[in-house]
Amino acid sequence: MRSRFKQHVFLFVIIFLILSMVLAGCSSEKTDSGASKKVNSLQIIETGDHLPPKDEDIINKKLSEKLGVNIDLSVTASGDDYKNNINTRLAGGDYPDLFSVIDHQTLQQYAEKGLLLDLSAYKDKLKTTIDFIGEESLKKGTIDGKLYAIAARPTINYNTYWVRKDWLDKLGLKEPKTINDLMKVAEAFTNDDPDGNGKKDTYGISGGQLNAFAPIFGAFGVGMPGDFYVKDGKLVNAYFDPDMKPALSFIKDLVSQGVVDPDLMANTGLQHQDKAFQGKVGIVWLDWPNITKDQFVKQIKEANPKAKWVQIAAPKGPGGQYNGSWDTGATPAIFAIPKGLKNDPKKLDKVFELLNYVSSKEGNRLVQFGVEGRDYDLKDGKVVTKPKLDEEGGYFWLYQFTRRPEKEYLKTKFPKQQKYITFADNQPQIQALNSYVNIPDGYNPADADAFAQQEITKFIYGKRSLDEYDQFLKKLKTTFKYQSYLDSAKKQLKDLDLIK
Amino acid sequence: MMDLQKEKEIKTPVSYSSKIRRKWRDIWKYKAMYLMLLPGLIWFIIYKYVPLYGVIVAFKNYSLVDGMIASPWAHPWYKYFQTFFNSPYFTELLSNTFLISFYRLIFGFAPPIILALLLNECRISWMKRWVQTLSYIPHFFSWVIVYGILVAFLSQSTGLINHWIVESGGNTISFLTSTHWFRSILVSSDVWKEIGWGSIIYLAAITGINPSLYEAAKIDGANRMRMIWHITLPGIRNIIILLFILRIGHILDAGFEEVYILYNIQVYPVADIIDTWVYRTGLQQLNFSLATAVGLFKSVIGLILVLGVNRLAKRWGGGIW
Repeated sequence: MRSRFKQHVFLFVIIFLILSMVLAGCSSEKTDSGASKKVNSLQIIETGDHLPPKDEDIINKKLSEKLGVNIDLSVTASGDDYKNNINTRLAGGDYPDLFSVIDHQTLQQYAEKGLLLDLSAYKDKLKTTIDFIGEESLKKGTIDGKLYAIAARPTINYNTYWVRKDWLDKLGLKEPKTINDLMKVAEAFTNDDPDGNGKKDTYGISGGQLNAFAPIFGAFGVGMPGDFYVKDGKLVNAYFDPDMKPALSFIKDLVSQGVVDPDLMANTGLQHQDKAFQGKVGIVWLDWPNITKDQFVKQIKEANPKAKWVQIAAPKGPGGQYNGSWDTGATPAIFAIPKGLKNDPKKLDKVFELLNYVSSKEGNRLVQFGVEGRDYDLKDGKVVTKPKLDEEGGYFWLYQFTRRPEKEYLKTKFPKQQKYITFADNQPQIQALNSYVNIPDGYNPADADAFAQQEITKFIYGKRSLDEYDQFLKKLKTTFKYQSYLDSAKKQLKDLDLIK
Repeated sequence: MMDLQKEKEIKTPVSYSSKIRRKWRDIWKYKAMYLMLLPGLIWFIIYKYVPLYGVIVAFKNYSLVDGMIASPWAHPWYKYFQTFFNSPYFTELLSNTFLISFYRLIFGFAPPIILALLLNECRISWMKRWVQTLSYIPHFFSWVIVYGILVAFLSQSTGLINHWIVESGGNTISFLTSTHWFRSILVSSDVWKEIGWGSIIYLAAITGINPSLYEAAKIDGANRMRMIWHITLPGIRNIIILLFILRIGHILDAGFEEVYILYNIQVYPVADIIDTWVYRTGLQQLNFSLATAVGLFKSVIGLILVLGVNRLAKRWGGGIW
């Protein structure tokens, strides 16, 4: 009798387990079809970091109050991770209501896969937003004549070379003006013990992978590998620019002198910044916020009170003087709406309302400077920041979905850094057109980019002789179908009236 | 249980129908056991067999909007397999994958067994406990943390080891960015990470060996090495073969996570494996059909290898089934 009972219990447990599994497998959250229901919350995802918890997030609170809807923002720090995240969600049918798109090519992919809502029909509703971002940005969100995304207002260049002034002084050197000066300084920083510790443990140049050489490519009049730009009235791709070879040859010399951070190609995130602050390198390619913001100034001083970093102009070279290249088609942010939201007009209207609000005068001021009286005061219609903004304002930009009037914003928010901001902004740059180009059918950018990057790295590190550069180009054109990409780019840019 | 059934079959050779009847009787007799098996079976059906229909994606132009069923068939059906085979990187990917996997098999398979044997022979129990715990802790580190540790030690500009090399007058070595070192670093960190965890199953198998065998051997004057050779190792032989065969089935999984985290553009020629390529070309570009096709290809190769190795093992008196 007892054992019977036991068996029953056993059977019961098993059936229960099975049922729960099956139910768990079948159940799925029913999404409300919307029409009759009130919109409760808007789910927004984007790349970014340092988003505070919701109860400390003053911008979220104000926006939610204003729009009468719960704003549910979540951010992912690294671009690659974000892309993964959003791809998985799109694949799983778990659409957010508004999401950022990493770059133009990704936007094109999403649009071609039919994932995005065509906003062309809603232009009237988005008037405030469209007026705010301007005609140029509108183009950047357009693919095949359809408006698939809201591209934010353009930004300005932040990056330059930064040099250790105290090291220069110690070794009796001047700020490098030409690339040959740069080479000499880098050599001295490596070999002449600038930190005076008696050890050869410093390097000349560092940066995030090939970007570290942007001004050097520029000095030869070449864009970054893969860039499209106009030179002498003709469209050029950087790989095929005749000046590319001498540029690579110069960089190769730098590398073989041992003056370049040996982990350069493995630097991810801001590892080069760490190395600079630790006193391992004396020339670093960085954006001004990451070296002149108060928190970083403090870090530099803590590591070494004598350390002094100065910004230098792009060094001159045989091809002129360019502080790298600037993708004129790129925008600081692209936001898109999934196609499915069409069936939920109320929610869609809320998304529009949000975009319009952060683009309006009042709303844009909120997402730029926070709350009046708390983060800033208005004097004669001008914003004067308060200490609170420095304290908590670090994440406000996450809500600038259409971004901001860049120069006024930076002037008001970073008065101390104004000198560096203007300096970086005034650097001459090669105007690249990459982001206007859509990927043609049959061309696999992942393979081609990987190949080209690998070979360029080999050339720079002397693993492959530069005499073989033409063979590299040939293989790139044929095996990796780069020729089709080049042809298509030319045609597309012509159609856009960007080249003649 | 198996032995019991075998004995019966040998004793009474009977007709087909009575065989079936006997089988049912046996099932009824051991119904509790079969019931216990049931949840596992159901788990497999729901999570491993039902999702198999997703394999059709490999033969379709999968579109996220249309879904699996409504997406149109690819034309020709092998379109995505062809894309993979025709990729300029195909041979490089395949050889990198095989090589990394082989190194991991060769250098990673024996150490846990040796560690298990050593731990089993260790008579100081506190030491045994400590060594065991310390050796399996790395298993719980994510690869990101392992990468952090590796950078701290091996980075050419800031790493501790290179610091020592320079101090003693040598030249720095680019452990993380040179094609010469990458695989060694990858495989050895993998061995370090998994050695303790891997030894647990062998230790468990060793405890299952009948102690009277050791006693008998001792009386006959066998020393420790003899006992390891003639009792312990044969005692865990089946487990070793089992794990080996399962491992062979995963030969095309060279470990996406560790490679993805450790590699950089300079070491692509030796580091890029099938999975990282699929990640870049398939998943990051929403090309799910391609990713599925490659996954299917890997599975088929894995299945063939498992069947083959099992057959070989059977010839030597082992084998899983």
